[in-house]
Amino acid sequence: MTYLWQKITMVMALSASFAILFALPYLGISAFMVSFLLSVFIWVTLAVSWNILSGYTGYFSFGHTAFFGSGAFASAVADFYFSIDYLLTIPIAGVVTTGMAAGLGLVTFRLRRLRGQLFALTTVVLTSVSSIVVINNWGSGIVMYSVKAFWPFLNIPHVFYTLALLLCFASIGISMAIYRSRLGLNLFAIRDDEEAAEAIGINTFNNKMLAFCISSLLVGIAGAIFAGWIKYVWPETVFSINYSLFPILMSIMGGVGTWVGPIIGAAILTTIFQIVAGGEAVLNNIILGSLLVAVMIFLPHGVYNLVLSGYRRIRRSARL
Amino acid sequence: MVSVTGVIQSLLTGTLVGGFYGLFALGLTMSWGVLDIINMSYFPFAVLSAYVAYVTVTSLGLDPFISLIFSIPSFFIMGILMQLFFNKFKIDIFRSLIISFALFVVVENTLTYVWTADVRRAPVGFLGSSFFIDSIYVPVGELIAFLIGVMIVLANVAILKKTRLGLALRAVAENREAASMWGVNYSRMALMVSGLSMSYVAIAGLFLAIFFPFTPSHGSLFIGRVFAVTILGGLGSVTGAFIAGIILGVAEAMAAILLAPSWSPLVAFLLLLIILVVKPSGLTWR
Amino acid sequence: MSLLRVMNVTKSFGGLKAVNNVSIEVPQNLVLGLIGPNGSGKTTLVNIIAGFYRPDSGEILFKGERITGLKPYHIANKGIVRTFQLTRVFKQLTVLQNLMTALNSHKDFNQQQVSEILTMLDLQHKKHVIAGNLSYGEQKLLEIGRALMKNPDLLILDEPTSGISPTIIGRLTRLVKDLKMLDKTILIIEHNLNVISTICDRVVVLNYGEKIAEGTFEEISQDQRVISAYIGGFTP
Repeated sequence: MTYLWQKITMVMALSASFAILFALPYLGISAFMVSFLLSVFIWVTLAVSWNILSGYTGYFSFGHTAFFGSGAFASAVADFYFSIDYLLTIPIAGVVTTGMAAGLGLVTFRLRRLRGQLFALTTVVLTSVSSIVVINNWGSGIVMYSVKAFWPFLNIPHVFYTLALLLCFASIGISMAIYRSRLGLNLFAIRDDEEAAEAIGINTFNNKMLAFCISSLLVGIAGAIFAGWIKYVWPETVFSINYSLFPILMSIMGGVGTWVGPIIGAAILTTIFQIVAGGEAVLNNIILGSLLVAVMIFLPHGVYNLVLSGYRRIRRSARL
Repeated sequence: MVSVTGVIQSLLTGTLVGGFYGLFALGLTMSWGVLDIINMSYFPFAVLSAYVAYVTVTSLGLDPFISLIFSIPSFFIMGILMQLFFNKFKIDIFRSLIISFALFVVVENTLTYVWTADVRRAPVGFLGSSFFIDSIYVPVGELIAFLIGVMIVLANVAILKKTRLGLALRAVAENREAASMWGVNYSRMALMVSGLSMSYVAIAGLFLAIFFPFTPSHGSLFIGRVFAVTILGGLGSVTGAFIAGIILGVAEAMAAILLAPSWSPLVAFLLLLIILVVKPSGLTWR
Repeated sequence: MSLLRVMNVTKSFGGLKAVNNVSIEVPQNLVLGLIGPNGSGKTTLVNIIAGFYRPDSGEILFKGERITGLKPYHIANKGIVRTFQLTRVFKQLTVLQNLMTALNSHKDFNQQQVSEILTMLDLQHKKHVIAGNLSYGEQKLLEIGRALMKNPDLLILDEPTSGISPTIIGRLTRLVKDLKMLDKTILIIEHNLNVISTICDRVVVLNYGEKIAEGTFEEISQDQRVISAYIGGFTP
């Protein structure tokens, strides 16, 4: 009974927030706010999608930069060189990044020894190499002049804001759904003890691939939306290491492995950045790096779990 | 048009550059293989060493190798401090990756803050010159780096095989608990290994300054290659890393002739994937 | 009909022959004990049967079907489920969630089956406890329960009594006896010869990777080779 009630409240809360956020730009908030919220939606998507793979399975990925940048570039290339309708470039970007993930998973998820480490490092290499290659070959960036669409969708004001909002909530929904599903249980089992999971009949390869592909699909789409929004797609921007690092920091700070953790982390961090943003990027990054180190050491389970255990302690002492 | 001379030239340059990759990877392979710590911060630290060399040449007017007198000991100490830090907080290998990545960001941005993002080129005189054997161009600096790399590898092999310290190191790399039962003091050894790894990083940084015009973020260009080399060579194996570096260097050079130079970093990644499919334990058995 | 046929299986690591030309037949509804001194290859053999290692030579047939070289999850789904020597429950999941990992889908959730197993393990009141917070003995029981959730045709227990207190050993022995009464086929690796003599119908003895004896507990305990393997010094 309580479970059903929880579910209903959850759905209502999410729908309400969606509705409010959707309406905000039409209610006359500043262009700056629209911009800020759009970036928040993207960051939440990145953090949540990172968590779907790395939080749930324990396979840490540094590949988000490669996927985000590839998604952005795939969209830009499709638009610029092939004049493809922008809205179609979004699924194209998704296919590209999912394909990359599938290829990578095919190689690394079959390993027997050191699988977690080698996976992590392979994603590090992917991110590093892909950014260099793209910078080498498309250094001057691609301008999406056209960003045309078959339907007059793009004439809708705040269309990119809405797309980002939809993606953000879709990611949250997917992450929640996985958390409660059989897939989620399998992933948690893999995280706890992969060999034991295999011994109990879980097809670890399939489950990991699914999580990885879903994760990178979301990131690729995020990249495409970002590209359409900024229209000037420059490698240094979209292949920035921040796109790998921030989602990790956000998820860990918020609470790795829960579906709500990354959202909290993303919300907190984007706010902090906004406050500190007045300073130079360099100082920002130094603070950020130090923050990540501190969080990794002192708050490894994240804010969410901290709050949760605090809550439990209060309840327990209340009962006594 | 690919000529024989062209191929030989590529092989030579590739080997020398590969030696540099191997040199760069030495610290990482030891740290990962023996200490179970993946230290991303080695990259900007190498650049720090490069800046030290740069300052030595431009401000002090001295030969860049002199900078090693300062950088090797200080890097050694920094290595010890880092290991103390990792020990104190009982960092496991995954957290070490993330924490060292964070450190990477801090160090790189500190370098940018201090020295700005301007490109620096250390005037290196003799080391920047080259000579010709039969129309094959041999760069002196790279050749020296390669030879130093070879010497380090040989010294490493000698130490590992012939000394008690080497025996202890090998034991620890294999089985930490068993080794401690035989009296090997793991923590002390870990400090030494960490210090040594950072010293290698200092040396690699020196050569970075000699070969390239560099910026604070120059280290990142090598991330892919160094990791590919480390895994290819087998974790913990200094010899393996060096050989793997050469293989990568040659492969990249070949790819540059046959395809296009701007895609050559991809070679490292593809090589890595191939190795993971074919022989995940790397070239040498640890 | 034999449920499991291990035929001439050999496995070497480096230069060492961990399992040397071992053949075993496990008929249905039998409780078979697998004993031998440390390092005799028992766990290696189990790892091979369960798919964690590939044998260098030899075949394994399960229900008449060749399972050599199949992946562990595949073999588990075919009906062979094993537990581990050092217990490997999912420490961050609850007792109930641990049991549920054995199911193929949330829809297969059978409340009755779960209750029965929890009762058998005496863990009904700890359904929602995080497995990491259970005592080691309870974790061992949980691991067996998780294996049972899969309704295995062959249950392999790897040293179920190691590292646990005598009370839990009693609980465990009773559990295995109950399973025996339910006509389950079980292969047990054990050092505790009391347990072996009480519950095993037949016993196979390994030494240095080779099968040196097979029979009832009485028979093998009088076998000269077995005695010297356990008591004697260096056996050639």
